[in-house]
Amino acid sequence: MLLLLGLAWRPDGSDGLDPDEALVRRFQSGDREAYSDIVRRYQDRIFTLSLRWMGDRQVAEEVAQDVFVALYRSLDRFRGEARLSTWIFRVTVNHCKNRRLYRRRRKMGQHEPLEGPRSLDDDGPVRQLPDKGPGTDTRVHRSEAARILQDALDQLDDSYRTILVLRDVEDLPYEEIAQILELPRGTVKSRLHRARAELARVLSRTIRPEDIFE
Amino acid sequence: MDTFFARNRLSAYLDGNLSDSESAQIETALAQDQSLRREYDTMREAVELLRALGPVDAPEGFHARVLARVQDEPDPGTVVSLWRRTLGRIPVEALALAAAGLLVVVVIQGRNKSPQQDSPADVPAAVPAAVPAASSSSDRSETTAYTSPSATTQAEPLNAEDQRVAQAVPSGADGDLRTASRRTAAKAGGTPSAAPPAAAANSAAVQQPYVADWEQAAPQDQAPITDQMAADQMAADQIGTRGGELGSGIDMEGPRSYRISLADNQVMAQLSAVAERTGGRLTDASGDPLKDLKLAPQGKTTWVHMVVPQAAAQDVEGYLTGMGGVPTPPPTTDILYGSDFTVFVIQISGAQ
Repeated sequence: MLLLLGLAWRPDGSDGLDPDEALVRRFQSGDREAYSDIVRRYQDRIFTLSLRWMGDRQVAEEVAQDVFVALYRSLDRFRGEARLSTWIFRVTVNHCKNRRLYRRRRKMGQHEPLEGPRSLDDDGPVRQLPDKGPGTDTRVHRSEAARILQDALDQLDDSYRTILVLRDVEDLPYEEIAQILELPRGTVKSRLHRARAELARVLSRTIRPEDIFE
Repeated sequence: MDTFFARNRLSAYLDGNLSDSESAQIETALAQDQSLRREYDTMREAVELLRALGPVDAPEGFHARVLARVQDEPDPGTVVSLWRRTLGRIPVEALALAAAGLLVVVVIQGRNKSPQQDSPADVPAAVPAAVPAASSSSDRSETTAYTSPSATTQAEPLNAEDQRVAQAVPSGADGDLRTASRRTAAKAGGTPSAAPPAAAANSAAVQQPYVADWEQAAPQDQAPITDQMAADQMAADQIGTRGGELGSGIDMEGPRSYRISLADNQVMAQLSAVAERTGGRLTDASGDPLKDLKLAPQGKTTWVHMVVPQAAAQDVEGYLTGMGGVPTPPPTTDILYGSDFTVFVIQISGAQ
């Protein structure tokens, strides 16, 4: 019996709860500092997801802020049926979709590419990174590669972009992605396969890994 | 495992999500097929690039800005918070419709009462009850027109004007239909805030496109997305992709399905020949190549999947129709076939 009690007791008072769950309980019991901790805990991941989705730092910050405000308003109703991270990612994806739809309808953020045709089917010039001669700034090169990669992400269908960012940027397991997107696991796998194939198709016309891995 | 099936497991192989035996089969296929190898390398490189982007730190001061934004928020669980949440759950469209419906009820009730209002003395009595805001003498004639049967004819030009205003500002444009609505109300003789019901009823008609415009224009201003809303949106998101598990080329259509009745064993040979001729193949319901070309026993249904290149899909449809195939709603399937193929799910019954 004592052994059982000893196993159940935690010196940090968390009662063995998942850290997220402990934060949520603290918030629900009136500890507003817990909200601050949650923001600190998730701000980088949510900002990253928003940035890869929206492709613009300022817009990404607006979206990420909206997500955390929504979290504040809803956290007292959070019952823990899904993981907090799953819930936050789901809300972020929805906010990104809404914001993107809004910007598309307002024709915001649309511009003609300077580097040549973007259509996947045209035979126009392929965009390439500048030659890496001696003295080329690797950081500039990397930043250019990141921009081209972001452009490639922007060209993908929303569902493809979502699943790629969740899996290959956020490094979430299939099961959590399935919960976030409310899809069967098999669908996550097949959609991820198609999304990666599509991204590869877009990128094969532009850059190679050695462009940024040196 | 042949190339056809190996190709569709490349992503899972990349993630290390295949069994040892499947991984070994993929490796064999990669060693034997150079085009498959190139395809795998391209996909792997794309994923490596994406992973190389890595996480990004939130901007400096982000945490403080978020806390500042929620500083003025009511504490969760308070009455204010509950009230805001309740209102936030009601779609604005529903509120607008309810308001429009209420106005219609008021108008109809007013019209029903008007034949009984033979005495002019009844009119002023009805006015304050129906339109408290329109009690000034300058508005009285408008209100009378509203409560009398002739209001219908008087309201017609206003309605037409409303329509012109609405047409002048497309629902998807950025124009402010609220301005148009206020202009219309003012034309009716009232102020925007004290428009007589007839004008308000007409302006409600104008406000409908305005609501649609709001829906398009300001999703970021909506109340926070609740769990239920998130679930609804996710469900809506799935609608566009359901049935598309077989490849991006058929995302929006899913598999095509045909039923062939009164068939004999020859039909399997014919289907096999069609598949072979078009560069496709027959598989069973689990996606494995079909080895036995026999039909199920009498009284049972045989399910065959014919996977053909997209370019041949139209020809195959012609063949199937010629064989007496009848298009049917496609069943749900979660088998991954590839992006350049079309899948025909063929249901054969009545073996002889």
